[in-house]
Amino acid sequence: MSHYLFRRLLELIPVLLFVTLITFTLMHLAPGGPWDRQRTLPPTVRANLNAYYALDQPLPVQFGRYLLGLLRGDLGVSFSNPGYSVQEVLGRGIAATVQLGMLAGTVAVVTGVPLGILAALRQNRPADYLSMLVAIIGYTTPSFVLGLFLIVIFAVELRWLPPGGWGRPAQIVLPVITLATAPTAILARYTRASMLDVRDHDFVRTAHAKGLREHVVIVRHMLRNALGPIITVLGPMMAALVTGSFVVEQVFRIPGIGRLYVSAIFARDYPLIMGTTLLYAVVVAIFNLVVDLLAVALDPRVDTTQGRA
Amino acid sequence: MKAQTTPIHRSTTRVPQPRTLWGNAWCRLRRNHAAILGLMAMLLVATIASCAERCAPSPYDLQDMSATLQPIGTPGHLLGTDQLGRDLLSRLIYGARISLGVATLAQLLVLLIGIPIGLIAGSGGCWRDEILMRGTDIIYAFPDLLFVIVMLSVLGRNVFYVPVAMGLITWTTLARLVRAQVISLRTYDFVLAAEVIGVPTWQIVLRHILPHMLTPIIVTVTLGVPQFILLEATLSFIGIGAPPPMPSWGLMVNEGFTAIFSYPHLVVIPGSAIALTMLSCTFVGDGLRDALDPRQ
Repeated sequence: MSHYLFRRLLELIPVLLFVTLITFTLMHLAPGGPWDRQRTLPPTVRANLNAYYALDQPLPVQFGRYLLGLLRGDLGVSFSNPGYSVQEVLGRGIAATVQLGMLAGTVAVVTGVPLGILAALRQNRPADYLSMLVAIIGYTTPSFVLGLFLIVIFAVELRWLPPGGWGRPAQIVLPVITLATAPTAILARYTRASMLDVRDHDFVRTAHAKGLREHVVIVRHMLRNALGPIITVLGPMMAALVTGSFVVEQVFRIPGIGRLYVSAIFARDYPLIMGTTLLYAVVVAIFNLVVDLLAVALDPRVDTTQGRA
Repeated sequence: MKAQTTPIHRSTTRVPQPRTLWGNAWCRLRRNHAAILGLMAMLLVATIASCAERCAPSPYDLQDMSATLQPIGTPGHLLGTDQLGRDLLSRLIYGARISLGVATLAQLLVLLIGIPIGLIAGSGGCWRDEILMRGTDIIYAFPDLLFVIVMLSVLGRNVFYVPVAMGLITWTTLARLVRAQVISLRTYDFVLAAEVIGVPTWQIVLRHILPHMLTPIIVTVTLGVPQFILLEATLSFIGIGAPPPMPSWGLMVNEGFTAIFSYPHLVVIPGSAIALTMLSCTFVGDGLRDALDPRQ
């Protein structure tokens, strides 16, 4: 197990290296530069700026310097936020994004899994149809549309909650609902399918025959065995949270990483783009690793000695 | 389904018609009302999108500054107009073209990249598999949306680049699926038999293995379409997809966003269009998956 973990962590290094290289290359291929957005600068000023930020060096040299900086834990200086390092800029945004993502993820697990179980236990009955209809609508409504609808209903018409901003607890309610809806729906659909697969197995019948109470059979016997496929869907769920965070931050004007990234792209803020991409790649990679480890922990039959799990 | 009843059988006993995989699947799909409804909705949207010039009451970028922000049901503008006096119904109709077109092109690109890579990795030697799958892992590790945003900032803001950027990052799932299928199908007797009589590997892969994995590929592709519709709308909403005055549904939501407090229909109409189209696609995909599932 520790051997497996060690190998998986080692495999992360080339992956992250390539992610850095691809982003670096694409970014510098993009037309325009970081000094185009302000008023036109005199050529000498431009040359000085380029020299100051080492942008006049050949690209391989710049990439090498960036990697060396990474080894020291230095992500560079943000161009569009003068005087701040990329770490500081990301540090300001990360709290909001992480809070939002964790809350939404928790809400998704806490509501999605029971919804799926309920639907599976009441298969082809009104409760099943209703919860699956809700799930499919939640899954197919884009988060920006849902967010805007929620603003219209709860902020404009009913005036219960603020339409945006960040800092007060009331301001986090609508963004979390918006962000959690799609992952909740995905989880509910998978939980239902997985529970239905397990339902007809002999061990479930045995458990019932032994006279175990209903909820013990459901939780200890059915859910425990249905968890494997449910765990694998946490990966796509995480992707949905990442993508969603971009949109939700835009809709509710939350100062998070997603908004930073979009503005960094428009401003050609190279170090900030690199830093954000790497951050997301690391988070997604670690999350996938945790999911794989969970799958191993839950099902001892998963083979960790062969290549990919 | 080919009905091949000969006169001999007609008189005495009823011979069951030969049932094919596709015939069975169609029978099951027909019984799934949601899927049929979704299929009809998809066909309707596709038809409207392909003849937008005939269906739309006016061009999508025709501005009428004397009739801006008209409500739903205005004579001449069935769904009203936006801030620039452009007819919303017309923009919605032309938007269907962008939405479906981008999703289809992206899916085509995914097929063109994902299937060959999966086939080569699954059937080729050890090192070919290793190199291709390591590459796939790297692309897979890239957060989709981030890649597409960077890619579009390289290529420039043009609708035709949107499916390219989306296809270049999302083929990994299909490649992995195809590879896994090839590896499991390779152990079957009919493949071994073909190997024994000396059929070249590429022919085995194309003529014996590939047709066997058509159903999972079809299901993946159908369920991928709504994801691309969502991604395109999201990109346009952020301001990176289709450039104005293109009537992308996501862009229409974005433009209506500023006036949401006084004119919610500017957001509700294109938003519902995205949601309903994705819903129909998902219904069709789910129905196909259930119909083609050999475990039934």
